[in-house]
Amino acid sequence: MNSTKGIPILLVDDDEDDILITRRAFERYEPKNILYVVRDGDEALDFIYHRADYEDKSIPTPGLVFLDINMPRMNGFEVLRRLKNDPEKRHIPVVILTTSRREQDKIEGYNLGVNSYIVKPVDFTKFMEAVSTINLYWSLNQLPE
Amino acid sequence: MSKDKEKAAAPESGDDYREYVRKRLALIAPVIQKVSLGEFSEKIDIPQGAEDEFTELLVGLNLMIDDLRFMFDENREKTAELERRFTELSVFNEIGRALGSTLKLAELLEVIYNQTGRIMETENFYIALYDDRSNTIEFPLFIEEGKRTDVPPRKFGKGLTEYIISNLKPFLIRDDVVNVTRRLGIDMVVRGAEPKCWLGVPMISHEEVVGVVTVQSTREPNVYDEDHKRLLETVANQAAGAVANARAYEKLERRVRELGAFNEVGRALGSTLKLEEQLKIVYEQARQVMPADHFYVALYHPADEEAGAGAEIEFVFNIQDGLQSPPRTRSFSSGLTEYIIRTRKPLLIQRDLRSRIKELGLDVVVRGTPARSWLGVPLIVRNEVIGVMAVQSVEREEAYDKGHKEFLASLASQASGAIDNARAYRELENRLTELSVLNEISQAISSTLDIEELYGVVHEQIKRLMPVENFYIALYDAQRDKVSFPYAIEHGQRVPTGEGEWAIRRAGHGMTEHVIRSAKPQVVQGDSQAQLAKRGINHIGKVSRSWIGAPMIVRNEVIGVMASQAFDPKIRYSRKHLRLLQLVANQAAPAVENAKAYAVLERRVAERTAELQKSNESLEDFVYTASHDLKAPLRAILGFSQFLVEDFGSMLPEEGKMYVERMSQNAKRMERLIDDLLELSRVGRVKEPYEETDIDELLNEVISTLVPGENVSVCVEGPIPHIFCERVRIGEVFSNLVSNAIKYNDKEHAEITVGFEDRGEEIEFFVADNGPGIEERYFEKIFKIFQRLSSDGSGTGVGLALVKKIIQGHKGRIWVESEVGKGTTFRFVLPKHPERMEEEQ
Repeated sequence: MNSTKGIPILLVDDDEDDILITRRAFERYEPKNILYVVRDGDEALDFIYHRADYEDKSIPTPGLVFLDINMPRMNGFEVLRRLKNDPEKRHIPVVILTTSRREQDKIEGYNLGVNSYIVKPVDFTKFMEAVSTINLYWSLNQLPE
Repeated sequence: MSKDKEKAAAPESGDDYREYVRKRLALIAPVIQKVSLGEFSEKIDIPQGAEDEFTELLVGLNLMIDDLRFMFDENREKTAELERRFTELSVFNEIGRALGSTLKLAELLEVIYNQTGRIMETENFYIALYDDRSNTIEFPLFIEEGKRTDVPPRKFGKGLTEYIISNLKPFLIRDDVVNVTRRLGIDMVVRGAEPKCWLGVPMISHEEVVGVVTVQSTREPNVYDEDHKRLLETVANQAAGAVANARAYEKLERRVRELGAFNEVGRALGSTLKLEEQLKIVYEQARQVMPADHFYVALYHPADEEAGAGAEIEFVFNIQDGLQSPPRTRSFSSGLTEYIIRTRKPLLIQRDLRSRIKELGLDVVVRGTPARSWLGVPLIVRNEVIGVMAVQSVEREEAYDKGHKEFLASLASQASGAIDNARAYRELENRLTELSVLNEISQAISSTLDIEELYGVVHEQIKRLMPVENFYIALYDAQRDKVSFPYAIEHGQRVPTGEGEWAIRRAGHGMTEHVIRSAKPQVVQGDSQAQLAKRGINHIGKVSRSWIGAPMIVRNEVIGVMASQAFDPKIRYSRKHLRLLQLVANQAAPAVENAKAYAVLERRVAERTAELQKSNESLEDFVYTASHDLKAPLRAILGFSQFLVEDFGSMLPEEGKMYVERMSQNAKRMERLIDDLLELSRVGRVKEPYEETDIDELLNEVISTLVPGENVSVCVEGPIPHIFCERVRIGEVFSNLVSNAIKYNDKEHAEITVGFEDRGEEIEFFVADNGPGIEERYFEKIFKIFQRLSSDGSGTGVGLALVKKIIQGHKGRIWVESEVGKGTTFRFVLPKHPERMEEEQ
């Protein structure tokens, strides 16, 4: 298991409540993983590409991205499109974590190459289970490419 | 999905439209029941500290439901309005059809009665016919308290019926009929119970009252309103012409019979009613006495102002050079024949025809070899000139003398009575033929609502009545004062309209407009076009030799014109054609109007259907998204209350923990509610594939997940036949019904039975329990969303609405049977092959 080191995880979400809940779910599951949080798509790309506020090269490239769809400025699909079109970044596993159960959102997500799609459960326990399963799976399958 | 699309395509015919719209509405109906904030808060105990969150949530949800309800109500109103218009239109159409298909008065009245009954109460209904000659009123159809009654004719008096006949206007008395009539000085003839509400409208044909149609209620006032008045007026207007025709036909039949009897007598005297034979006999007699190589009999037709026809001379019998030539007609001008008609005296010209004509101040163009001698005498019947009989000789002067003149005059006076009778008989015969032809026309006309087809039929039938080269139908839009030409034939070929001389135009000074303005049929010959031009009437398009046009009139307004033009000099439209064309126009006008109305209605239904579909889609979309947005705050409430207990549980007193616990429970309930709502919206939106389903197996799965427990027994009476259905959803139906039966059971031992009855193409299932039962007044209500009979907080009030919606989606139906204290049985019927039913439809 890779869990001794912990992997940097980026959470892209604009809902403060959901951020708090997600953060707690991660802490409960595996406190060694470092969770970084950004509030919209633009900021997510800044983080990944070390731009603007994130120029500091010591900031790690995330090993897993949790991405919301509906966000101000740039939405999740656009972030996904850019990452998956960039040969340097396309290996980063991206999981859409959203409230939307819409079929067309799921289809668009998978068309753009998302690695997993989770609808946020209302119940915290279930939420935690979902997040931890995904976290475990993708941190074990770090594809080099 | 593609199947859904196919289903969504709007059906084409009226009945299917209605069904379609109704189905679309039924689909969304259950989603949109009223829920007040008050009701809501009763069901959900709002925990302290979370009031704001909850209030916001509930207000949001409630606003959403309000919106949906508003949209639903609006659509329902529109549909109701459309349905009403459909019934009205079909009633008018039925009447129109009957008017076309029978000339029997009794049948006609029967149809009017039956059809009126479809749009208003006709417990008391009668049709009175007015005969202005005998000044009597008869009641060929009289319905009293739903029963047919014989009412004898009466002399025109001071009753309500007479009031309408005199005023030519509909009359609605909503209430207090007795006093209203008394004040008006009406001497009401009351038979049986006094009317509480009375409505009568006149039947008016060609500005004359034919009779009155009446409905009345003896039960209560205000049964009829302005709408009924308008409807009954339309019915009466439609019927009036046909009733007048039917009466005329009956009178004609009688006269023909009388004349036939006269004919028998006449035959004994060597006479006959055939005009031509009659004239031949006269000719033979004349020929024996004088040179008659050229002989003719002309009939005089005086001008008919009402029909818009000028005076005419009809040469019914012509001998030229000893040979008979076909009859012809010309306008009354100023020839020798007209001279005799005017002077009523015989005229003998022995020589110098041309100078004599000049002397007499006549204007005759002599064609061919001029006659050298000419002799003409008037035909006089009952002191009226009915025609002229003339002989001429091209051989010699002084071919005729005074003796000839006297002989011909006496021959004329002997023959004129017989000629007149024969002429009358011929006209009657013609009328009968025309009527039967018209009858065929209107039958053809009434059988279609397709306006293009209708024009075609009219054209075909007019061709049977008169020579036609060019023919067109013009429609007049009175509001915009515009004339359009939806149908035009040039030299027997349909030509495109809407451009060139057939372009839509502002009503100007053409012949068509002349017919529209005068509301009278018009005939114009090539030679009289110059005269028309003087009166400011232009001939638009090609100048024809003969033009004839008749207005189509509906409710005293000209809605259009049908016209025919001839270029062949042999074709000359006369008064006869004028009358025929007008008759056809009268027959066609209501049908054209109906077809126009139908086309408009059809377009409107298509628009509404599209609107409805769109609002339906956005509505479902809305329910879906809104429900998701409602879940985010719930997640926060649940999450944070859990964190609160986890992190600070030790600091909270028991009461505080209890509150937090209640908070979570309610949030979870809210989540269930939203999930149910989502599922409900999904059932309407997404169709699952139909598959052959083993119901026994499905029931096993469902019941095992419900974990009934020790004191619950669920008994399935199998084996149940397989059916085609949306498997998971039918599972939900059973799951909901069985879990309800368990949840609400109040007995120590809950007994639940699931069973079925095979009904061939359908299966009836039942889920019976021994629970508390449901009062009858809730039998309908329980299937409505948010209607809960128990307040224990475990149900969401969506379950049965969902069940009903799923079953309706399978073209099935559900109902409940119950006795309070004994138990409840839910029964529902599902077709075994719902897909097949769909295809058949």
